Amino acid sequence: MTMASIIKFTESPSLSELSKSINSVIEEGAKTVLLLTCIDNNYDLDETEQILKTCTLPLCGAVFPKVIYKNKSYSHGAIVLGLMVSSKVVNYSMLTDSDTHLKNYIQTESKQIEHYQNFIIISDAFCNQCENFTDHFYDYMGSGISAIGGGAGSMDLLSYPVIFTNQGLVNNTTQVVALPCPITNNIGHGWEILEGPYLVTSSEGHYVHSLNYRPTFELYKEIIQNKIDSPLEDDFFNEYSKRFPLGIMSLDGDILVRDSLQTNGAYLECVGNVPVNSMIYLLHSDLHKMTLASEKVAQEVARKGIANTLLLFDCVTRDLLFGENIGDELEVIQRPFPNTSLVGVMALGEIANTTNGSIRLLNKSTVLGSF
Amino acid sequence: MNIAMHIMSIQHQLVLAIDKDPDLKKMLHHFLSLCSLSLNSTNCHIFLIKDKNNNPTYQLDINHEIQLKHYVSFPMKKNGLLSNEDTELSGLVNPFFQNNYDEQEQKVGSTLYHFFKIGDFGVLIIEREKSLDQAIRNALSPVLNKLAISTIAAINHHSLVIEIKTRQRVEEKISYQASHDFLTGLYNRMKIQEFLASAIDDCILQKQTGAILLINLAGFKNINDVMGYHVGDEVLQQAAIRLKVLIKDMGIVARFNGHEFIILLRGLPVNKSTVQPIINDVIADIIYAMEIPFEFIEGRFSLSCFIGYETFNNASKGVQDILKNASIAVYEAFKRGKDKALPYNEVMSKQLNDHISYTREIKQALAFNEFELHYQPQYDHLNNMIGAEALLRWNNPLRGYESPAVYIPIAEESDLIMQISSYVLQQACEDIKKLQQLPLPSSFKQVSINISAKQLAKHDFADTIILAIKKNQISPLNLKIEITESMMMSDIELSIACLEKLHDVGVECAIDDFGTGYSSLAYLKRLPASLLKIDRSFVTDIHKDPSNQAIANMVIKLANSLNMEVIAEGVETKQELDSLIALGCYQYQGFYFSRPLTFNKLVQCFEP
Repeated sequence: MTMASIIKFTESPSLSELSKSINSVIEEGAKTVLLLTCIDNNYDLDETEQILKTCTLPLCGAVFPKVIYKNKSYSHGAIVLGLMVSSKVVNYSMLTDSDTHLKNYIQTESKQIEHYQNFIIISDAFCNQCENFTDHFYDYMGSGISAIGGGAGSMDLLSYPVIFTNQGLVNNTTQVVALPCPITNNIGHGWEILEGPYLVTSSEGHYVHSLNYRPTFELYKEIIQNKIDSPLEDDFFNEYSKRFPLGIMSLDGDILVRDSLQTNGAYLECVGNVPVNSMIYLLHSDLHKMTLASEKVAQEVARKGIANTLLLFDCVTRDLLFGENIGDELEVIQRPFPNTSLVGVMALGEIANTTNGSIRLLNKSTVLGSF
Repeated sequence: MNIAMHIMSIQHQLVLAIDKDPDLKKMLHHFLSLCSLSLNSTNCHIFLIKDKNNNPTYQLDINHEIQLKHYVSFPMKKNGLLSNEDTELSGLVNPFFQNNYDEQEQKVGSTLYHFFKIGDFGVLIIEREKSLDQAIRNALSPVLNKLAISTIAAINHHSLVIEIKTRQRVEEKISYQASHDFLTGLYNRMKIQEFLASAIDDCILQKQTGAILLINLAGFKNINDVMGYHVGDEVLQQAAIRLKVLIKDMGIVARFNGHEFIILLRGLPVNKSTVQPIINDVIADIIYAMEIPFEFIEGRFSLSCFIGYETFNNASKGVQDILKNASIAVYEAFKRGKDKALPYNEVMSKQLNDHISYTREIKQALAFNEFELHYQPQYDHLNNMIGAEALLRWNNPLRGYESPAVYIPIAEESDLIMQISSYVLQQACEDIKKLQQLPLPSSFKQVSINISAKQLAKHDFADTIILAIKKNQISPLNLKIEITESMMMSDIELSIACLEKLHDVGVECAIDDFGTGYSSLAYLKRLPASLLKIDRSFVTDIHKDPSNQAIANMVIKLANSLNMEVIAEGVETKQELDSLIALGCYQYQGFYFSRPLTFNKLVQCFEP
């Protein structure tokens, strides 16, 4: 039976506290060190590198907008998780734009973990190959694997070195932690169809150029305008896009949320690919539905077995929507696990298996894993 | 409405994926990844008919039972097992393919398989947790038609690409073989001539100098002869590598011929005084590189090389002129021996032409019987004639008697020496036959003939001598052969075997010019020789020269200890004779006793 991980949580943004916690979990017999820290800690890169390089155990993890401990989220502080299993950490740093090269690279690097079935995947959210990575990784590792993870980085949309490795903090990297124990996972979001469907008549990766042969932004604004009484301001996008994401519905009725990140007045840039000819919908939700969805996720994980370690990747936009009520969502997630402390992060995009088993990049979702 | 749109959306997404890439595998892989996405499948696969080379095909072989084989899956594995190793899956695909249905759903264990035919040569398999709605299955029909057409197009494209690549490879191979030496991988003689032609043009246009260095590996033949061609080949391969490493970008290395390499140096300065040091440096490096022992399992082999070179900086000399000149220069270097490398100069050509015309004259001399045998009598200390040495003389109609020192070395370079040797043997036997019919003094024992190295190296040497004796019906006791120490050393065992064979029939053997070459005393003891001949260089002024006395004394003592007789050559004065008698040498040959005589004059010596 897998032993519970050692958890060290600190609200302090200081590196010395982080260093102390790392040493502490090592002394207590951890075999792998997983670091989850806040971007606002502003760790000094050189000093961080020195600490990481002196770590004698395999080290992984990343810097996120916020960390979660029990039923609270924190914008300062760190969680040091001492995993009691020997994990294999692979850092995929040569993420090129060429799809063939990327596929070959991922296959070559993944040979060392090809016999593993359970993974934590942490990606630099601003590495534009994140979704292609998950597709190729899943293609190589195959169905039947189990994964949880999310995107690391800052809300200011700028790229920083955010992935912890034994060599220091790095950027433009996706990190896979292969665990020798099973991960039980579940996903949920609480978003429902408001309008649609719309046929994606032109798109390119993250960029949705036209829906039903009309510029995406134009149609998007029109739909939202029809839903509210007052005229929309020019800068309505920043406020409404959080509340009205897009969604791709699967054949079996699951909705894959696609957050719209920004616009140039014609296209919408989403967090994740939107294939041309796919059908998308305008989604909406409220705090109650989102909370119910998260509660269902936690209950489903709890139903599947004992959780020694609970790891949550919750979308940072949910935190924004919940605001000071985020504790409500975290509380319902923690509730089915009275003996296990919930740890996790507010992530920029979540990664997990969808209903058909494939690993997908999710938005505005809750990914909970236990192992 | 929404369901209809959804179906259309799926159709369009899948159709769009089909022509995405002309590469069949990539296209089908992309198609399957979209199937996974739009049909929410856990795994999807494509099985196709494959030909004997395991390439996909759409043409059915009616003579054989058709078996579909796995071609591509998305994802590649299921629960850690590669889909192409999934025997359960392939066990389901082929029965479906053989039946009359275009699509079928089948549940095996917890897996729900959906099979769809692709034309009459393939099957698409979709694995899902839930059953696919019939409307969706129907909607896939046009997608599968399109997939079949595009698969055929991609297979044709693939075949075309393979054919083009194969043709390219063949053409490249032919082109490579036409321009490269198969053993060393260096450029061959044909190709270096092309490079040389272009280098000549470059020199004119860019005001540069070029040089051709022809490298001959001296002693290489011995490796082939003694160790076999496989070792010789390895030596050539290693030598080629050394030269390539050494020359790098300075020029081009090629194998010219057998154990000859050629280097074309390009882009050298036009100024002669600047060029020469560069060439000298390259030559020094080549000589050094070639003299490093070659190491193999069979042992270490040391070689040296001779280099002839020719430079060019204008169009006055063509490709063949430059190659010929370098070849003449390397020949000259080889001939002289002391200089490892020589530049070509015109005198070499003149000498070579002289050499060639002289060789031609020797051939004519043989044809016109211009060679004669003269005999120099040999005496004992009591002034009894004990024998005679046959000496070859060329009575040139224009120049008179030519010195053997001039024409024998030239004849030895070619097979002419064998023709001359054959003449000597035959003529000597005929003369012995005539002598046997005369009242010879009892002291007169034999006529001796000189044997060439090439003769001795022949495996049938002894048989040739014995045959001549029989043919002329002479006593083998009347014929003696003279060989030198050094000519035996190339294959000492063969030499000993031949001489023993002759000894057994009664033909005696003398070691000529003893003391001038190198001998192994161990071998000397094994040789069935009965006579040592002290070289004339040790006899000249022996009465005044203590070192000559010492050498002669040593040879005499050695002969005594080996139970051999000893004869001194070149005895010209009474003082020399007295000294030899004092040292214990009692047989002589030289002007003091007699100059070489024509056969008639020799015969007269025995007339009463």
